[in-house]
Amino acid sequence: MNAADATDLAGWTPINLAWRPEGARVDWCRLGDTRFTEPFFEQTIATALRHPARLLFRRQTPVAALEALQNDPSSLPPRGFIFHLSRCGSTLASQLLAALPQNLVLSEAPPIDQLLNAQRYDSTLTRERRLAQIRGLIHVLGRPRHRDERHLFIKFDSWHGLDLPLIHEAFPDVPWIFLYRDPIEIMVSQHRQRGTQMIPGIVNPWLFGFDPAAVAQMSLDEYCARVLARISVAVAMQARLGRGRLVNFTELPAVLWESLGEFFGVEWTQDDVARMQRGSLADAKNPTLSHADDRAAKQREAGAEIHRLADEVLREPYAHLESIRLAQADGAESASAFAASASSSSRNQPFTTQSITK
Amino acid sequence: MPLSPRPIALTSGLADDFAAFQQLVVNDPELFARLENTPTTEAFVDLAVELGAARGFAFEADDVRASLQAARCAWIERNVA
Repeated sequence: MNAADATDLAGWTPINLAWRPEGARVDWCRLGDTRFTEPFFEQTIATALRHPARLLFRRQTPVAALEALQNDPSSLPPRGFIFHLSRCGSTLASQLLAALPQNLVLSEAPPIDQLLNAQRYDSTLTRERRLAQIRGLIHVLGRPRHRDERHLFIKFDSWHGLDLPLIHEAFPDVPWIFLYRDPIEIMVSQHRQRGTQMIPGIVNPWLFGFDPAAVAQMSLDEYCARVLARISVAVAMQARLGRGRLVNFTELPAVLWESLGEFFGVEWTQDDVARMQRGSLADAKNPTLSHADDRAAKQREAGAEIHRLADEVLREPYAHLESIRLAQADGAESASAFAASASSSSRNQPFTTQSITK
Repeated sequence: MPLSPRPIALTSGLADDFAAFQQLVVNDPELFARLENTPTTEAFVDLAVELGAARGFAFEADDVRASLQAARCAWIERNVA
């Protein structure tokens, strides 16, 4: 792809990536000044495509076109990446960030997932080209569409915790967080309504390295527990790579304005904090509803099988995540000891934990 | 395989003229903006026919509606191999 072609894609946003026998194709759409304020990327795209012009006048390029865009000067450099274990407040975090007009927040964008799956479809793709395509995709997704947008945040799908080494290699300087919570509460939420990654065959079990014969013998609850364990273990292994911080659901939402701004290298104004605090009063996935603290209800709802699986499969990975998080907190406390003063004591103030996810 | 962008193939079986019009709009931000500025689907269809005719294309409103329906289906089935 030459420079003229890259320029030709100015104003276009990749909205899907499909693997075809003739090669992977990127689907591009003119989104104008659309802001990604809905809980998920796909919802914003669905709304945008209701207009016949955006639906009819799209274009496609080979996936290789992304490689020429990896140094796109028009894009915002990523400020922070959000990884998560599912049903643990990641949508709350991304929605509170998206509540600030200076933030461009991409939440579980399918093109990113489709590109991270590339090796399933093209085993000849080199790591260098994968890295170039990932950088290109994230850069082109991160083009500002509003004058106010200055900070790019990306919330990945939960199973992308397995891709942390690749993503970290593509963007070694970008700070990332991993959100998780009490496994029983996640399992109850998944038992009520399973995410795609918890149904073998929708998100391919291949991603998790499971033996297909073993998967066939598992109940859906056991599969859920093993997926959660697989992601937890993978992230724990990467947590000391640098630039990473583990965040327990119990720290939300206050951790966003109390310390994650500094972690991501941005300063929130009083107005920013007030906006986030107001946003935290609503249900993240359905902002027309108020949030409800449902932790106790989920604990009560958990049956014997969920307790057994949480104990046998997830107790150890969860404890490991917690030990890393607490060690990180100790390190942060030590590093900031000199800065501790009455004016910076907000992190020591009590806050109310709020449950957002269903 | 050429790497230059090309219009998405949405209109197989429809008039070549509409496909050519799509190509034109995809490469013309101002023309796209005029079409994007229409408040309703019917206004969009009418303007597309008008702008197409002014540029020598012979498609009709039903061609545009059929193309829209095909595009909706293609989007829904976008990841079906």
